[in-house]
Amino acid sequence: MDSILVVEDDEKLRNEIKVFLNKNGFECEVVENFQTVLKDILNSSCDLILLDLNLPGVDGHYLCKEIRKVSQVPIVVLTSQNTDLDELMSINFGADDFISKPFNAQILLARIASILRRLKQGGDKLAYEGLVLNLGSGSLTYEDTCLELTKNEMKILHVLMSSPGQIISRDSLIESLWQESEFIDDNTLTVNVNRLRKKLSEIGLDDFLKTRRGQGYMI
Amino acid sequence: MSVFKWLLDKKVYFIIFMGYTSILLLFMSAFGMNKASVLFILLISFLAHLSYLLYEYFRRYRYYKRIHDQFNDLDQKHLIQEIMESPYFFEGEFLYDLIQGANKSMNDQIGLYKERQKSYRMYIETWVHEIKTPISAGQLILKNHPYQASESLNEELEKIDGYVEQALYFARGHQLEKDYMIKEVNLLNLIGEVLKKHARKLIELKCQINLFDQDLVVKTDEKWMVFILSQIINNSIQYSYSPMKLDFKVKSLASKVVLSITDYGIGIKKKDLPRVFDQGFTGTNGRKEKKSTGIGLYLCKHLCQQMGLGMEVKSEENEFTEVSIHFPYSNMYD
Repeated sequence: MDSILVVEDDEKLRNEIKVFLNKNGFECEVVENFQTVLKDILNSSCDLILLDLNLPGVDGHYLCKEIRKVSQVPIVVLTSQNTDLDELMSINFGADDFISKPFNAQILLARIASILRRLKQGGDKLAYEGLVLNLGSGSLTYEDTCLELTKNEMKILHVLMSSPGQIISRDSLIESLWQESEFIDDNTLTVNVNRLRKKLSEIGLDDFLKTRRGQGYMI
Repeated sequence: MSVFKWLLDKKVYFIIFMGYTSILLLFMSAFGMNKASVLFILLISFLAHLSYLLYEYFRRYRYYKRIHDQFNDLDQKHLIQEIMESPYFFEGEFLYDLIQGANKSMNDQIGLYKERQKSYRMYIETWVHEIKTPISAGQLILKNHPYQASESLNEELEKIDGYVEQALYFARGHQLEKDYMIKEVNLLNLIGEVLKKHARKLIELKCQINLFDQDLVVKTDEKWMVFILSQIINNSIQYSYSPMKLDFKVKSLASKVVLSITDYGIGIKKKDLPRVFDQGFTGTNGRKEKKSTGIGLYLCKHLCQQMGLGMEVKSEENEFTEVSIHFPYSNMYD
């Protein structure tokens, strides 16, 4: 399980982020004492740091810089200071991503997951029941057969395969695609899902992508 | 100032002159001086007076003409005080000192207001940043502990966030120093960012997005433009029905790029159209359908003007509303 260190001075928000991340399968540490924040961060063995910029007594940019001197742990800056300058400084000081408050919890999760995935396998493969989705080349592999997917098909399958066994509603599927700058509508989704299903049955996966009427899709 | 008016202004002087010359005349004729010498003396004395008056006139004329011209050339008229020279005649010097004094006091007042405005703006900026943390916390609480009202409370929180953002840009747009940074921005990326921000509402309304596919670069401040487009799309969302449709089109003209955003919602009444950019104008739609603050479009236009961009609205009631933003090609910022 990946662990995330939350450096945020607002107690309530800190606890809610912790609860949220726990619910979504992450372990979570928090910093409570900001006198020794740098030491605490450097002593922690987390996989990713969520960092607020405006902290009591210490500046987030400074922390970023200090962490980078000794560690390459991914840093996601989470802040209400959302000017270009803040973003630029954060990235320059070594942050990996910049999210401004108020943030969409789902997007936060997606960004964290994508950073961790990139870091881990360096790879971009997703597998479920023998079906392998190659995100890099946009293709599917199943029992020695390889299949090309269009951009939208791949993204739909990516979302579904990321949480197997869970029903994903049509709206949240569309929203995931929007976040990837594919602004499709309801009809386009139907067309894409049907085409995807046809391709899957071509390689012998007949009931891989299931429809739950009125609820959404699931794998 | 014309000579005639100047002389007219000196009418008392002339009355006294005529008065004392007539007394002098009577006096001299009583002493039996001959008419020719009396007239001669009169003429000499008249010419002396007149030449003195003309001398005074031209002295002032030269000075006033000069500051008058300078005044007309000035872009900011109050700066005349900085460039005017001290005159070389007494009452002018007196007035000159008064103007300098008045101006100094006015500058002090302006300084005071600038200072106050700056501190108010800093307060707003801090406030906006502070309040974003509780809003985020609130949204996460709802996400973590879902109950039946979560969804609708979350919508309200999103509205609060929208209004907070508006307050921030109102403060930024109304200050004297410029706060924006014009650079080249890809229009498609910009629109994408805005669409993502409003994704949930748009998807809920089954929105069909028709985007242009040219990769176009315009010169604008990124954050400001995201805010402006957000306001426009927010309006479209408010005044459209499901399934809604949004068209984004660009036109590349010789002097500018025009981006137009069209929704097919309830539109705007013809009589309301000329006033949609007025501050506080809510219109028939705003009053009838949903509450409107009359700030959104006003602020958009204002921010556009600050950046030197044009903005325009066309609409047909119950048909469509098209908002367009004009990005002129200019080398002003090169």
